[in-house]
Amino acid sequence: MKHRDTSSAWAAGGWLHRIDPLTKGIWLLSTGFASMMTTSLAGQAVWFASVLLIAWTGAGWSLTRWRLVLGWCAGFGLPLIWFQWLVLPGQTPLFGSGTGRWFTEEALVLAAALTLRALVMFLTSIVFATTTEPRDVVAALVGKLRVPPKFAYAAAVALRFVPLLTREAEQIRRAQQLRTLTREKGLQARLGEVKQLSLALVRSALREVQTVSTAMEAKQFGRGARTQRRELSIPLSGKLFALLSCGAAILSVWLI
Amino acid sequence: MNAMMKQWGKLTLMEWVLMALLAALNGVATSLLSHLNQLLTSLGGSMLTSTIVGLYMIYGLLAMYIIRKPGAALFTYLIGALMQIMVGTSYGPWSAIAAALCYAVIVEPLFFLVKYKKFDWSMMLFTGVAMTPLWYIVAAFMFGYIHYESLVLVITLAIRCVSGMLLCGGLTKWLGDRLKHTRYVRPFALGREAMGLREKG
Repeated sequence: MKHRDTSSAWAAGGWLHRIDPLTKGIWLLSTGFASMMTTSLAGQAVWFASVLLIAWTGAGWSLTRWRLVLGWCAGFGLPLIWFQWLVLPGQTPLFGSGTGRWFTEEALVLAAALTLRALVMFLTSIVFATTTEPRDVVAALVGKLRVPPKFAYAAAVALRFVPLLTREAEQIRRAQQLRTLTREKGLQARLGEVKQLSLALVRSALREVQTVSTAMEAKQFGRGARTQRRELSIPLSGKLFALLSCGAAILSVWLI
Repeated sequence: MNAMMKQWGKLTLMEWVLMALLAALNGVATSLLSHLNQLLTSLGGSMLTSTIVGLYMIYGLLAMYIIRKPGAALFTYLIGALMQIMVGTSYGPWSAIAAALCYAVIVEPLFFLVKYKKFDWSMMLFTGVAMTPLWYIVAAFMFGYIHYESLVLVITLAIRCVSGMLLCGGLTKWLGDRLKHTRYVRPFALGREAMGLREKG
């Protein structure tokens, strides 16, 4: 029996939750591309505002999530503006001639534009990730784009193991701390810790390989044609959204 | 080209699972390093963040070190990119895809040239360095680093090369050598080679 993508947890959010991953993917890539091609501060500000508007109306984020996202934007964006203002060249010093080529008006404008570009990339990515169920992405890749199942399902397996391995990493780290009781100082000691943690983590991942591949082989994965339990449909709103995204990106690049 | 496609088709299910889990490990590393990354960005922007860039490149090279087949690094990096897009990435989807392709476009031909047989320290350290510049150039255009002062660009590239050499090439070789006698890698080329050497010895 075919199953449509109407899981309540995802359909309950904003309008972006009801759009298929492919059209959202087109929005994600076209917005990123247009932002990369835009150098003006005004242009970047328009793209940033458009992503905020789409997230506000369509992502259905809670106040806590908004706080987290905006906090991250400030935590990442402000130091980045500061650093870029310092290393970008310009002609008009903002604090008198004493600072020479540094802290110029041109550098500040460009630093703000480049930081907004980075924030557009981050926000679009977060909007896509929080409004798209990973298994829908896999279904869309295999069903609509004819991506080889081994590749698409490998990504799904990877995604499944991130939280498990993260938990294991935390346990390994605590165990290492307990063994030494006091944390050794110095770069060499820290590098030693990183090496030991990396080795333990890789070993944990390798331990899972046989279990997962045996389970997949037992289910006859990769033998014969694959059937899809989930059938994704592309709604008219999705098609319109993709068309608008592409149009806006082309217009933005053409106007530059 | 056909021969290469056939070779890629020869990756076994177990190798695909290994590539997936190495990509998952990259996700774990990204999560563990996120605070350090943010701290480094706050203190010294892209310059200081470059010191740990090698750690984000390990997973594909380690897949190549263990599997030793065409496509091992390419597919591992691509699986990692797809996974990052699904969970959300700080630098956007284009950077995830472009970085994966830039690393793979260096690693795959290098090991193709040595017929997937040379995995000594010099080769691994060289690969770690070689993987760095292409993605740095692409990222410079993508994120606008290209507008920075030339001196900053050169210093950042040098830091990235050292990081690539030690934290990617060196750490991959170290990890691979520690793992080669374990039972976990016996189904793969690395384990088979280690077993063969042990039997000969």
